[in-house]
Amino acid sequence: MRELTVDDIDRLATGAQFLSCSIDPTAMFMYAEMTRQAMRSATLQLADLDDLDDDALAVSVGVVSHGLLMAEMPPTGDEMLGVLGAIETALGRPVDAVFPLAAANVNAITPLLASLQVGLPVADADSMGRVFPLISQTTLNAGGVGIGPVALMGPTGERVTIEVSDARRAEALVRAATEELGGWAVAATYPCSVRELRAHGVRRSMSRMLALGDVMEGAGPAQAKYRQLADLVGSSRIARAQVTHVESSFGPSEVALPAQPSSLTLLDDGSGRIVRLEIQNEILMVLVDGAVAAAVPDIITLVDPERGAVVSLDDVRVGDVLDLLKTPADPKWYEPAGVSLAGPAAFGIPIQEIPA
Amino acid sequence: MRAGVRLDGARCVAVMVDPHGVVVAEHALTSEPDAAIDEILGWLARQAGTSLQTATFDVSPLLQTEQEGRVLAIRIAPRPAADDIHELAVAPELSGSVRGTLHVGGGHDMRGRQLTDLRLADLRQQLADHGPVQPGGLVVSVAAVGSIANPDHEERAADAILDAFPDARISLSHEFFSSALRDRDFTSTANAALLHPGERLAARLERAAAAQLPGVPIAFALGDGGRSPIRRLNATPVHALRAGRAMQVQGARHLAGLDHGDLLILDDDSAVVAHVQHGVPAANTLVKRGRAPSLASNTARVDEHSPTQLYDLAAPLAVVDARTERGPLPHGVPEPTIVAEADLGALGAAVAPLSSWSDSLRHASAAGELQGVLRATEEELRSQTIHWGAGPESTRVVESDAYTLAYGSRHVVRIRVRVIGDWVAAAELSEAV
Repeated sequence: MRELTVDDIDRLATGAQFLSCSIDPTAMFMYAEMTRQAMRSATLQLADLDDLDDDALAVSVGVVSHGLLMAEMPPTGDEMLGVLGAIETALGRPVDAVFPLAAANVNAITPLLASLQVGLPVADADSMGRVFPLISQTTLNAGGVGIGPVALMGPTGERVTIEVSDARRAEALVRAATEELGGWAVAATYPCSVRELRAHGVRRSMSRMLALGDVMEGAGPAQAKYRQLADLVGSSRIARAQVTHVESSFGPSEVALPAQPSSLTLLDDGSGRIVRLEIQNEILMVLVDGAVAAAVPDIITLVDPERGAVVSLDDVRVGDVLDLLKTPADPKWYEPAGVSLAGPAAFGIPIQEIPA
Repeated sequence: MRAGVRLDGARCVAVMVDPHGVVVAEHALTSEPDAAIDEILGWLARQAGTSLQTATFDVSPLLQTEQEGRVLAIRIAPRPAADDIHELAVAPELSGSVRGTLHVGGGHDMRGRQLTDLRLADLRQQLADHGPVQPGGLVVSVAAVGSIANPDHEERAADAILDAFPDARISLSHEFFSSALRDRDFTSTANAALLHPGERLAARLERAAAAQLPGVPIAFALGDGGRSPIRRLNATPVHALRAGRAMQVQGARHLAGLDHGDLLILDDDSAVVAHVQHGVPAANTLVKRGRAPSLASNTARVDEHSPTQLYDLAAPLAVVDARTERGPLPHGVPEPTIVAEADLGALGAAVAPLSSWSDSLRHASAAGELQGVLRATEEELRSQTIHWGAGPESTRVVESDAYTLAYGSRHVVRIRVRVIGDWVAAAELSEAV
């Protein structure tokens, strides 16, 4: 068990942004600030899974969005308590630990505040090891852990509990409910034993974000950070290129994903190669002169080469020079069940093999 | 003839350019700004007389938020915060300007659908309970959840405030684009705290201009490198706050004859880099302030120069030296291509184009529909720019893009369009020089 400090929250937020630069970090920074404030009167415990009983009940908490961004309507403060209470009622037993639905962006931080509010430890694990758009895209689902019951509470204070076991069905039901709840909802999902979380979750993902934050917040040029990232998480640079075109696509999409796809075209300023990013909520694929250089479940991060800092996709404009980094996702995602849930085909991209 | 004036507490400078953009006269004085206004306008009248087409003032050094605690910040959201931790705090730099915050039920989602009814009766009651209005009138900032998709609740709240306090001055958050309520709330509150100072400055400039330059349109400089009619300083003074650096970029761009490319500007205090597109500085929607709320005002993108600076290799780089004493160059700075003799800020104001923006969330379910939305917005902005005094042939769309929102609703896109008008082409200057 490790007690987190206020400085850890900053590092964790920076690491969480590295793992999902496609989402505006405003809500995450707001949550990080709230967490720092809450730490004035309570301690925050990060628990390695080996610190918890095998049969302890762990529940993922996070935010699902469909139509309202969390930064636009900040949480009131009772949502986490509301969904955990609903899960305890549904299961008839108390929750012992919480863990992030996704160890990236705002969902990496929300369990920390929940933990402070309810006095439970945060498990050093999560169900994605990055973030994917769908709540069914988890290693827990790939490993056969049930998603339900699911509890939701939205910005208007209304609460929904869904008795469901199939994660794909849960996705459809949760997405529909979230839209009607107001556009986002705090969600408690995947109630499971610590034993199941250890077997099928992504372990030490919180520690990994802390380490990533440590590197990215360090002094020194971008190149030095890239070397540290290569050693730490196997990152490699795909290209340094200048943005030449931003495009929103309105083509038919057979995949039930929120938000429209979009593309970013860049020109590699050294070699003249054309780099293209395909985006739908997350950066799904990078093509260099038409060849696949990276694709989901790989993690793509945009970095400002001048400052060595992560760039949010929302801030990218034509003319910007960016470094594109590729980081492997958790090994579970490259196994058949993982690829089936979150490989290119799951996003409607017809490529068979993910480049090494 | 066009004039640009930089009103600074320490040194006020006016620059006059001919129709080709060539600097024909410059005047600097060290008197305090209020006295300098009359003297500079008198100088302009003597120099240009009736041939002066427009005069643009960079008032950014003079704009200070009022600290008398006059602003009432009204937040419209479905529910109030459950505890202090979740309360949207007033930014420390605005705490002296804000007399209190009120919470009113209401708000919309990103598709513009109402989340809860707007509690107008509650708003009226809270206003009545809040105590007497200070001398000089009530100043209010209204920020509603979802107002960038549907401003109805902000507008109805404003109507209710005006019913109760007809002299109230009101700033609405949907006039400033950010998809984060706290950014819009911060910007709208800052704007509210600038309303009276902006109004006083605008009135002062209009009075002086009416006496000395009758009939000459007066404008103020914007943070995006453009200008806006002086009467807009009464409504959105916050857009003038960051004009100083933007005017310097605009002046350097003009001297360099740059329509597209990178600029490196050296002055006595700094070396900065800016990017120029379509003859205007590339602008960011938000002025980021670390993890504090961002200022939602289109602002020229300016970075400190670094020796390892990456430039657009396919576009020209102009290095403009505006130092008063030409010593050795800072480390890593290339040899200047232009030596600025005129004050860059005042020159930038003289050549700043009229600038108008549209930044909002729209619904589009097909590419054709999106193109229609963009085209209609471009035409609306052209009309606005012409209404502000630009010749129809002088208007130019410099940005027209649509962006999807990660995890937003399908078919809801953010559109961002910018039109400039009455601009001085870099090519004209090059030929003239």
